[in-house]
Amino acid sequence: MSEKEYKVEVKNLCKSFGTLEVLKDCSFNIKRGEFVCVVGPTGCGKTTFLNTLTCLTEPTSGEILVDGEPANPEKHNLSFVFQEPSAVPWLTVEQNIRFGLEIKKKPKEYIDERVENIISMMALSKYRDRYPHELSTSAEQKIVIGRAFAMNPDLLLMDEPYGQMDIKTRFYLEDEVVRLWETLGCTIVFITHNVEEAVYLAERVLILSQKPASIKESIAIDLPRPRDIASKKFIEYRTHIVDMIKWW
Amino acid sequence: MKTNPLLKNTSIGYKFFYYISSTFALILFLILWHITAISGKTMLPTPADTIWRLITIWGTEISNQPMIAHVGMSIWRIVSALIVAVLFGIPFGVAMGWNKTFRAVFKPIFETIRPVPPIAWVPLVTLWFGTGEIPRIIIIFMGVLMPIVVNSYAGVSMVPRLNIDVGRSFGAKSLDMLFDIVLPSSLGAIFAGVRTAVGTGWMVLLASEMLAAKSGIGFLIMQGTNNSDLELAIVGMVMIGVMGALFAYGFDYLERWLCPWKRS
Repeated sequence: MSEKEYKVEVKNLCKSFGTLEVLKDCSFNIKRGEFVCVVGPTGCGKTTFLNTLTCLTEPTSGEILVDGEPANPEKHNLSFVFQEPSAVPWLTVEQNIRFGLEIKKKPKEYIDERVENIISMMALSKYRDRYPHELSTSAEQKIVIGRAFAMNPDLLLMDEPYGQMDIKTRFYLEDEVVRLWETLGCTIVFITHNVEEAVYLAERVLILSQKPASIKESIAIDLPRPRDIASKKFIEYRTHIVDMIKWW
Repeated sequence: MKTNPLLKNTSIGYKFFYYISSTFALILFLILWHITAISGKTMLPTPADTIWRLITIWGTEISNQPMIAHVGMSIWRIVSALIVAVLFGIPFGVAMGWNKTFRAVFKPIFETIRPVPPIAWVPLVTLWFGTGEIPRIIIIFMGVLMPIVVNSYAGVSMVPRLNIDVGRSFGAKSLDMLFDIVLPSSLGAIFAGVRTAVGTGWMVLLASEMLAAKSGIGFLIMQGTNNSDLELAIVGMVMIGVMGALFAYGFDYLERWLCPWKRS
């Protein structure tokens, strides 16, 4: 595969906080349009990993390239879905979805069209003038996901976005992400500690090792969509990943 | 668990209870006042006399000025001091919370000036500006400025981390961050500061009017004291109460209008 097809290239990434080594020599590539899940034991540095990708924290050494250039949130279109519901409380649903595009100073017609598209895709039109606190947590997370996809991001980073949700909401929002990804097409890095979620969503799963984290294995999930979490193949993948996390 | 049938918010009893209880408290207060007044041991006028005076006073003149001029003068003083303080204090507080260099330069000075009570400025201000309206407004300004600056500063420094991260992850530049994240997030705190400032403002206003003035509500209270006209002094107090309440409701309204996301 030629270099050009990689959206993200991570080379020998290291990050330490003082003497605490969190990331150690992580190297991997993510293809354009790929949906990658990153799993690993709790506290292994998954969030640090994402924060470094978005330049919210500086890496100690190593480099992250997006489209062959060092990652830079002002230049690249990165979207981030945080662990906590992070809709902006003083903006309505519609204004929240517009928010990122307006920061990027896109032309108004483009924003209007894009936002309209997202709102209708996510069936949010009923709530467009409501404020986040008037909605449920899952609806708020939906806004955040909509806001992220509205950016037409080069890279969409999701940090355990469904960690706090009950199982029904989670399934529903997972399908929503898959649907948006299939329709709008963007590169997604999705962090989770839920193995089932990873196998359900990803084209490829990266397994991180215990701290200091490095990439332990990369597994391509070759299952048709929509995926059946009770199928034999699905369970095999899941069991394998769980074993990998358990036996380091 | 049994709920009190009176407190079920659908019942008529509930609404009745709430209307009656606040009225009842007011009536009780007036009765106690009346009893104290007619006992004869105090100089206190009865509530009825006071209310009558409150109504008829609008047709009379006190030291050659109609009542409306006194009230208007007080409002003008406090409002003009507030406007200047808001125009100066909010940008100052925000700059102190937002910019490290600005904070390093101005915070020590500000923290030193802040604890000086506004009234302590009287000699200096009188020396520089004489007596009249300008020095009075400057002193009220010193009082209302402090809570506005302190709250704007606190609001800006306490913007939730998550909101900042959202802005940063979208690549917001410094000014976008200030106007799209930091200011809306601190608006509530800034408002609280202005509210506190209004309270302080009334205090300083009254003090300054009681010390030396030819008009204003504070002057009326002083006038009542000097002429053993307790009714007049109490009328002044009632007016401050009413005006304070009107200001508070006005600010509630303004805040709901400016921060629609806080409406529940």
